[in-house]
Amino acid sequence: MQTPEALAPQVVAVVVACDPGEWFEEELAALAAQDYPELSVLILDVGVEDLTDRVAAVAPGAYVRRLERNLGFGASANTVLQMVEGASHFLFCHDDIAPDPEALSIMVEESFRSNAGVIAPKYVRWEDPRGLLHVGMTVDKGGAIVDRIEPGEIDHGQHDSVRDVFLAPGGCTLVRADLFAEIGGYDPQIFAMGENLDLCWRAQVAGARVMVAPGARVRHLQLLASGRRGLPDDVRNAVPRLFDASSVHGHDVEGRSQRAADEAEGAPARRRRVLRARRVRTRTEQVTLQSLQRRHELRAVLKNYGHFHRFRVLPQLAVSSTAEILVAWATGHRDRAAAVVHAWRWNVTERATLREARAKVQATRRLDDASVRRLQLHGSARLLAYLRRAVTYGRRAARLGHIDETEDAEGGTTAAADAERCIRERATRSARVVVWAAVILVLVFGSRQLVGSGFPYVGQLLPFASWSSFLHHFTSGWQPSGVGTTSAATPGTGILGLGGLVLFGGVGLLQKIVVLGCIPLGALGMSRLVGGFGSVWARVASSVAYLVVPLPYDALATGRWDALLAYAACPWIVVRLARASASSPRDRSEDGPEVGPEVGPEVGAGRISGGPAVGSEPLALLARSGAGAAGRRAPRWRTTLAGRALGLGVLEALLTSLAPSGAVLTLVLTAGLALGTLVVGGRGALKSSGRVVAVGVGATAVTTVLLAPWSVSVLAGPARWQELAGLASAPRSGATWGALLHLGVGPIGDTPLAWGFVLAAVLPLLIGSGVRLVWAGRAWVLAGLAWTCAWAGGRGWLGALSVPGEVMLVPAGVGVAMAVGLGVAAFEEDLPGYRFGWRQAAAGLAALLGFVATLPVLEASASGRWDLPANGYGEATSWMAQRSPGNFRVLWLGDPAVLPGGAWQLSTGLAYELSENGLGDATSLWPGSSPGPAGAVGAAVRLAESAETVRLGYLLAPYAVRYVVVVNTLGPSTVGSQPALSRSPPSDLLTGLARQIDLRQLISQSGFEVFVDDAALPERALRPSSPVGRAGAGHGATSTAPSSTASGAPAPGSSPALSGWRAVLRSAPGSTHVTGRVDAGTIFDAVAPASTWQLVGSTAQNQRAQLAFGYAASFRLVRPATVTVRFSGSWRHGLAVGAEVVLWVVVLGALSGRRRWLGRWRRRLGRWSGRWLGRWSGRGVDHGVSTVEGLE
Amino acid sequence: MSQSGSHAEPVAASESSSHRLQGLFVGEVGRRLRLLFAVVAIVAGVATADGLVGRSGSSSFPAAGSATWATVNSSDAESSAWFCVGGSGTGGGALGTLVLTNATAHAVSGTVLAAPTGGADRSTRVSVPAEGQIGVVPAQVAQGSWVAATVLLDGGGVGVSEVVTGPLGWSSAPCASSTSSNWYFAHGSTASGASLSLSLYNPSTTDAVVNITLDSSSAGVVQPPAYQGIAVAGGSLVVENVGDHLLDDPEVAAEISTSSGTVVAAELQSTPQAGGGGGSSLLLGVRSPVSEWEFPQNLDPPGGSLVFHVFNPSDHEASVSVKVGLAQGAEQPLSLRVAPRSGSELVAEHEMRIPTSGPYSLEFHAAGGVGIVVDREVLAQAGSAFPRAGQVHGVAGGAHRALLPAVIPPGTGASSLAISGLSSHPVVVTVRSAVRGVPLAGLDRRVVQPGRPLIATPQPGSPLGVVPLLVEASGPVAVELDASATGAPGAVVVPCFALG
Repeated sequence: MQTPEALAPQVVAVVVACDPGEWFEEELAALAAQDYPELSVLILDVGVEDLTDRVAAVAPGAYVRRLERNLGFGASANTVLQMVEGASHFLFCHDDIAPDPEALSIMVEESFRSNAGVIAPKYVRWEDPRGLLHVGMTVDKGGAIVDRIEPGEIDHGQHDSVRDVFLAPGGCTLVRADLFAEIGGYDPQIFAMGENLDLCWRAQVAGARVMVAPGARVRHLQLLASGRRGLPDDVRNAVPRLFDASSVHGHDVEGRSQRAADEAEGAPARRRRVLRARRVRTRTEQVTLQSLQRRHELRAVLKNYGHFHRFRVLPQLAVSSTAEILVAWATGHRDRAAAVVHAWRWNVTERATLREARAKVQATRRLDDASVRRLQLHGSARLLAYLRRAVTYGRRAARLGHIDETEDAEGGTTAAADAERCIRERATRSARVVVWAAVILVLVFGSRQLVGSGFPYVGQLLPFASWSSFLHHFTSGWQPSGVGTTSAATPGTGILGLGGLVLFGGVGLLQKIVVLGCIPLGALGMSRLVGGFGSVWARVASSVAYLVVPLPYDALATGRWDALLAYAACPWIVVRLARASASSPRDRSEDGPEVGPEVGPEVGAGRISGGPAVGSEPLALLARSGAGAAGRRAPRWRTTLAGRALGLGVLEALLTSLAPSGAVLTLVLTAGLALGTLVVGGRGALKSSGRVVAVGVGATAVTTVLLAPWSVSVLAGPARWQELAGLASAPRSGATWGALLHLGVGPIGDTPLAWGFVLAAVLPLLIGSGVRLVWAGRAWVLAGLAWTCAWAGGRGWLGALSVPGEVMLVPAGVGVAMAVGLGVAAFEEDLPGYRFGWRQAAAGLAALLGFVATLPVLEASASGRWDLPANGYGEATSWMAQRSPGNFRVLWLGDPAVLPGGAWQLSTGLAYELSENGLGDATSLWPGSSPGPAGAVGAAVRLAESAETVRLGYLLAPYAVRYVVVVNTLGPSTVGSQPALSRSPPSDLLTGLARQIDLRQLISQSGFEVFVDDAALPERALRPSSPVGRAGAGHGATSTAPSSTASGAPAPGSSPALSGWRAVLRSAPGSTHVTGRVDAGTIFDAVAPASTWQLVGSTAQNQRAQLAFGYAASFRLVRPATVTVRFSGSWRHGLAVGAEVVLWVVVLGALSGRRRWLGRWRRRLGRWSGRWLGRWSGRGVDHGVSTVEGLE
Repeated sequence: MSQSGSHAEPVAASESSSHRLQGLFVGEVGRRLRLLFAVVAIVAGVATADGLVGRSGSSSFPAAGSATWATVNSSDAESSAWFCVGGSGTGGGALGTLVLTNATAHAVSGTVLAAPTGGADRSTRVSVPAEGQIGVVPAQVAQGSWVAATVLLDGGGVGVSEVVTGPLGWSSAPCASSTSSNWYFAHGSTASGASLSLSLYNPSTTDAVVNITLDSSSAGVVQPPAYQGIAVAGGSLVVENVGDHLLDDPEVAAEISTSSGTVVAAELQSTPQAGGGGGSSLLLGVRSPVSEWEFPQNLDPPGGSLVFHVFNPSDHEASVSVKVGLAQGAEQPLSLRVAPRSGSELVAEHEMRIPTSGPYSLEFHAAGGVGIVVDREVLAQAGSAFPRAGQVHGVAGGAHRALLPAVIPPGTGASSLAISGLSSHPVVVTVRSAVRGVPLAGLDRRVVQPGRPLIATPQPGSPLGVVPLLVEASGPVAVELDASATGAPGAVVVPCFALG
């Protein structure tokens, strides 16, 4: 009589082993320990190492069969069809699994009980069996695999019901032997990743059930799927080449790669670099796990569907694949795009084998596709999963999601920890999404009116000129500031011109982007700055704190563009200085773990517990050691002091070109960080501080070079420091120390609630430890320095270096926001280490204060324009152009804080500027460090202010100043509807202007006053009679000839030099040439320098200008003619601008890390020179260069 | 040092050897304390400095000195202008004469533009000799009932005042060197036959719209409709008779403001006395109220009266203390409370602490920076010489250098010169002749103590009042030059100019 064991069907466990590690003995032991009585174990050894001894030691009864080479799991397993007879089932096993002792019994029982052809167990993690890996899988109609469980899910028995599934995951699969033989086993073309999908699909086509028996538990190490076991080289390099059969197997690629490597060994340095780059490129085309997965999924679709469904599904699949490629490319997920492309390419190249396989499938078909698809998911599982991840975790997480689609890469950690981390990260990310969504909502809501209607002409928010005007301003060599100057224009105008060009002339949109974009850009920089501390909430808190400090909104409300730019740039500058403070890159391992600002918690190990030892450089956390998030390695030279100075210099140059105070600000940041490093102390503090100073100063030097010739002209000017630092308001308007401390120097921050963040920022000093305390200290010292500078500058104690408070407070804002973020990090990391006490209370209070501090900005958002005045001086002075016969100038006087545009300082709290035909545009924001001849206008105003003249109109007349506008407020003030920042000019000014007998006051209302000078000459005028006298026509008392007999008011403007002129040649403001017909006489052009202007006429003789009124140009015209008055610049200016552009291109190219184009140009130059030399010497082309080109 | 996040208290004593500092300032605890100390030091230190330094220019009221004294700009100025108003034409009761005093060493030429009421403007060229003084009668340039004038000079260093003469005597007031949108007068009277005229002159080319508010002791604050929206065209003169709206009112203060444009305002007070005589006073308005006023020299007229009028045009009550300066000894200050937008008066003879026998100075100080306007009214005993009544504003702010024109009307001279220091320190003063540049005897480097005015009377042959004088002081001083041959001391005061 047979025993029950003898009645059990024969099962052969087929283990495909490829050089397994120490876990293999555990697997063998597990198989040997199965309670199933009729189990035979067959080891198919496909690796290099002979496993016979190892198998014999653990499972003496097992059979070992060595295969000649690794054909892949499926092809290797198929050999059992020839090797084994009489088996009822095959148990196909990977070499990294360990089934529980009763697993096989349960699977076999279930196979018989359910009459299933394929049975899958429940897979759990190798080291922590509580963590689920797979309990059966399913697919959509496109073959995309979808797991039934969530990543990190803990096994509570929730999936323990037996059920039909579409796919039995690989690892330990029980297959009925007859079914396996009928369908021809695994697809031999599938090396790995997808063989079970194809097998299960075909099994179902053949009428078999695929089921999961969760009672059978198998631990799985997932070596291949997790990437810990690499693909064989022949598979990895088997990049398909369409229409090139020889390349399908990868030999060509491998050979070329190897050839390149071989050549690199003995090649010169330059060629080695090229060859190395070539090798890198070759590697990027290798087959990846993702590629395998995608191509085998597609193969299963192409093979296993019937005709109807194949032609129905295929177009959908093509469309979705195309869209996926485009999206992946657009979002930078090139590996994903490459995998999709690879899938289609490979299947095209495998079309022959595909046809054969499809025929076999159809031969075994017992069920139609509709029946097979009953277990498939509807819709596109991949698209849904991508969207879900993108919405839940962000775009980067969505990109990484492909790992989750197949296997979990985190095999090395415990399941519980992984699950906990996963849940925590998901909750964190969801909260982050909510926080950022709220922030964006507030920003958009608060800026809705500005986005819709644009900016009023107040402060520095002047309208942008056209892109061509910007570029013309940059390249022409003449600026209309004052009465004209040939000083170089700031490259900022060129940058804005290019920006307008990129936006197809939409300079209005450009202005909104540049102005409003500063706010999120600054927050992004702050997030980057604090990102290195590994706390997601620290990043969120610091970014939100930086977003909610009143500074940017006060800057908007007061029209301070420079403050906004500083707000955007300062965190980035601090990031770079912080990196510079780290130890030398030579001291760090290039392959060491990187937890830097670029590596967010999403992709990095992230969290930093504690901190480095005292004196060790905590900035290593912030310093980027070389590798980027995507694995790209930055050029090594960029991590040197010079490289960092160059990088920071470019950033500083960009800032300074738009806001000259950026240079001073960078030095303040440098000083603050260096001082903070010294104050905090520790080992290497002095060295670290020195590095910061070196990089900061070096960056300023780089900025000077990059911005030349503008920087040279600024530094050479008499008011160089005013140009760089900005103009100082009257000391009486300096903010109080309290206002500075809570960063409230404007209308929005002028509330006690704004103290919240400052007080909350104290928290890390109280509870922080390690790196958080170190950096909190540095942040506070930085803030303290900025506060002190702003306070001293507000009182005029810093002289010409008194940076306006709105700008100088930005570093303080950076320090406060950074400290707030560090407080959150300390709360997460340090607080749990303390006993319950006052620290917890302090943390709670800080959180409350932080919340309270957001209220002023939330309230300010209600206006939709951040309290920016609705009307500016552009509208209020638009009537001027209609009233004046020709071109004219407007003299603007007032406190620099409220004066629209850029200006020159006249006295403390009083500045002046000139504009043409009304309010100027944004090009007037950079007036230069010297007013040139326009300085006489300022001198005349000073005479009036000091009661030393009553004929200011007479003095201003030769400068074509028709209107004098004295501004008291930021914008025209309307009681009840538009309160505006008020900064009255010195009282003597209005008294002095009121004293002038030749100025007529037109408008005197709240906000501004307008005087008109009726005697002013037009900017271009013609006097038919006598020419302009050079000496007598000058301004001064000598030309005064008041009438002694005429009745009426004294007529000081009735000087012969100022009478008899009429306007001609009207043009747009800032024009460097104007054409028109003019009668005979003397043409006066109120522009300087006179020597750079000339008259060109069709009938008149070309002539250089003569000097008039000591500065202006005049021409004699003997007969009526059509003439052109134009600026004739110097060729040196064009050369300088060209050199500047080339320098920027070279520096940016070098910093981008993509120097191939440089090499390409260098090689081209070499080739050209070679050809030339060859021609010259008769030797032909340089073959060395050709060889390199060939490799390319 | 330990970086563990699970320690109960982050103590760093074991790592102290790696630090230079010992004791408490060691390790992480030391670092924490050091940082907290640095933060507190910065915040508290700057806060202390901020509190000590404060901010300059925070006063809501303009600096004193610009309120009453006109400033003669420097000699190298490009040009200067003066606006004179209040005098009548040749047929009026107060014929105006412009007095141009040149303090410089070179002649200054210019133009006098006369703007009469109801007539055309006319101008004439003038030249003021170096260190000299000339008189110009605007009524001779342009005919009209009232004539205002603009003096436009091709340089600086020249002060211009106006002297009005008539049946009731004469008076003198400085011309304005700038226009203003506000003018204040502390006192006027329409009682007992007195007439009060307000002259509004707009020397600019911008039209002005003027509103006049009167503060009457009987009617309170009055804004007569006819005095609202008075159009004063550019270059024109408008004269309003207050008596047309406030009859027989002994206390009238006036506040003139413009809705647009700026003007120059002056007050001509004619006070006939019963039995003949009286006085005529010309006052240039005060552009802005200030909190401190100084009267360097006061003397009760025998049989007459000396009254100080305090006008508070602000919306806050003014608490005014009056400090009496004596040549010897000291008196306790008096105090006044002046309600908002109202006036008050201090009658000298009613105050026991004010001496009756000798000269003294008075300093009015309004607490809290409240701006007030103070003038002094002198009424001489009937039968005294003309003029028997006079009115003059106090001095606000003073100057380091002052120009004193010579007394123009024939037969008059200076009765006394008083100089009082306005600072809390002794001031060294020198009075010299502008013509010869030599100090006056007895007035060379005299020390003026705070609260003790220096009073000098001319000796025979003294140039005091005869030639222009320059006062130079090491600190701010207030100067008052009283004219002689008047009914009472202080009835007529020669206007002073601050030298820029």
